[in-house]
Amino acid sequence: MSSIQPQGYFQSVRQFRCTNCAGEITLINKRTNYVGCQYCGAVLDATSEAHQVITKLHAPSKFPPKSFIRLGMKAVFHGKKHQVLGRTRWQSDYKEYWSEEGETGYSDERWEYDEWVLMSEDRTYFYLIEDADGYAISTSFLPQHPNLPTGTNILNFRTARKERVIEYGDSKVLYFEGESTYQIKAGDQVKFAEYTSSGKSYIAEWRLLANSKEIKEIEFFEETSIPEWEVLAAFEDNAVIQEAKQKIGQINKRKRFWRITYWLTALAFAILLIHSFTQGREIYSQQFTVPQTNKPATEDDDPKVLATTQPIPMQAIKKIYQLELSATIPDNTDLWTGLEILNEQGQVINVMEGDFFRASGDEAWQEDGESGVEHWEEAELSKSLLYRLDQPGTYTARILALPTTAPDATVKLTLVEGSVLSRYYTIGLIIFTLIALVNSVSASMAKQVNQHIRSLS
Amino acid sequence: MSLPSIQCPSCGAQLDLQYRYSKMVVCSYCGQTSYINAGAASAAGQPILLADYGSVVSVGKRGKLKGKLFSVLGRLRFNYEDGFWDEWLLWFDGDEYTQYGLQEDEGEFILFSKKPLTSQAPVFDAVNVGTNISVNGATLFVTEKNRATINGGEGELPFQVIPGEKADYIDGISNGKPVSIEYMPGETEFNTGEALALTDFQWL
Repeated sequence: MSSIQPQGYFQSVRQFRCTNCAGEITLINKRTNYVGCQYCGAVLDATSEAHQVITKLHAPSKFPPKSFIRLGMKAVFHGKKHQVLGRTRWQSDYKEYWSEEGETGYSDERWEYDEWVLMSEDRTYFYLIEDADGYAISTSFLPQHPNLPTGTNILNFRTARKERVIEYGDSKVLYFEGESTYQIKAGDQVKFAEYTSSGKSYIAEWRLLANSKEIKEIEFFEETSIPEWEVLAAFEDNAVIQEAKQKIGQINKRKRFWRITYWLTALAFAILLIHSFTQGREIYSQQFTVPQTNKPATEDDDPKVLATTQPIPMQAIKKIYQLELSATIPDNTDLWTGLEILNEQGQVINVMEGDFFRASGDEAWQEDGESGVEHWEEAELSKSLLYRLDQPGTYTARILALPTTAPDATVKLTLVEGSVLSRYYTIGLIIFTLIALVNSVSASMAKQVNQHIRSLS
Repeated sequence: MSLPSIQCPSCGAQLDLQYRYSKMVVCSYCGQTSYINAGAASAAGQPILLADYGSVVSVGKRGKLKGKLFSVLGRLRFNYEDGFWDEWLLWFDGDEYTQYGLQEDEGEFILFSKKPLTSQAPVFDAVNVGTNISVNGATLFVTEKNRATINGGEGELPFQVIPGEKADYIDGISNGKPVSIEYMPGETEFNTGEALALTDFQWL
């Protein structure tokens, strides 16, 4: 078991003001030689008292972090506490291998990424690569078979097997902030070649001597992609993540409230719908025969009174009364009927008409499987109106009809007291059930993701 | 067996030596480098106290590595254009001589072991980074070639150097292990190394 002396690695060890912009700079790593000011982009000598400006890179506003990660944040990777020391924004101009429909080649590409350097409690470092595609951890690698690419081939660092270079080109520094043990220069440039093996990327990186083609230094790296939720879990203890989690917690609470409300509302609609089936009492129903004539009715014909009902007592104030007029007629006939409602004084207080028909033909809407004959049918044979009773009393109905050639035509009047509008309950039940279902499914998915993150942290 | 105590020629502080073959000692009080000759210390160069950049290693510390106990005798700090690195001199218990240097550079540790050169050392200026060269009959892939200077030291060291002296180096990889050739004043050292994690150490 190792025993490492406790040291205040994550306490600030030096503080001073940027000699370029007077922004406050705090250093964490005692070994930091160079620091990039996060306020103005100047790179300063961190070791001397003068903190002279070594170089000026681009303005920080030009290259803000791509996500929530910031300098000084703490994170737990591989069970060890780390702190974010610095960030370098690189831009790569490179060739990327492609293969399509049997053809292969290399395309010219440009890509930007951030390289975060993190220091552990026991002063080891690793790099977290962040780009538009996600995150990867890059660690220094000691190859069994070190080599540089020849053309577009490179030997596998572990097995010496020939591998295809999938990317190669140049990367240059656009921006740097935070701490570094080596000097970052404006336009610092490295060449690189990359191949993949067993789901990991292996990279050879080499720097040239200034104004020369001679190589100054070669480094080898192994890069492993990590999903975003793993990065979020690593940074879980940071205030920004905690705040986000609190906000998410509050949002979830609100969402839970609304989810329950939606389900309860849907349940209420279901109860009302079931209840509506038992509502309504038929207080009048009578069928009337329509006399047949030889001549079809014209616009000039007046409707004839078929019958006038006995007075019907209607006493339930504020209740809904449903009045339905329906017809029974043969195919390809029509019938016009009317209804007048009269009060106790014999005054017409409401009217209703029904222009009924039943049509039948050969044109296809659906196939009759038995006969193979295609036919269509259309009909309108009933009409209903709903009334709310304002005044109790005894009312009379007068049934009218135009003469018809249809044999055995009848008209039926039905009156239901206390009718309930069940279709609104059905619509409400469907809408709220759907909303509640969508909310529940999305909440369940979010819960599964959170559980996965918690199991990893 | 305790070694005779000597005094710093600059400040008079007592310098307690542990290693009988030490040829140089740096006073922990004033930073004066002294050469040791016939049990006496004579000042060499100007006093320099190394800046404390923080490390889990320190001079005088005892530890265990792969079951073997060791003491940290001293340290040399090298400067080069991109930064610096430290080399800690480890003396394992039971060994007559010390031949191990623990390189600490940007959080990475390599335990280098000094090996005698059986062939002529490659000429520094003739070596190209990214090529294979032959040293002691083995192939070495050169990963870095640079010029460095000795920034200073502390504790005891079995050789004599003066801060500011040149220490060019060639780093490479041979058989999957790090190797280094250091062109020190008066001699060229060949070292083969082993990358270590901090968890490999047990500090006492």
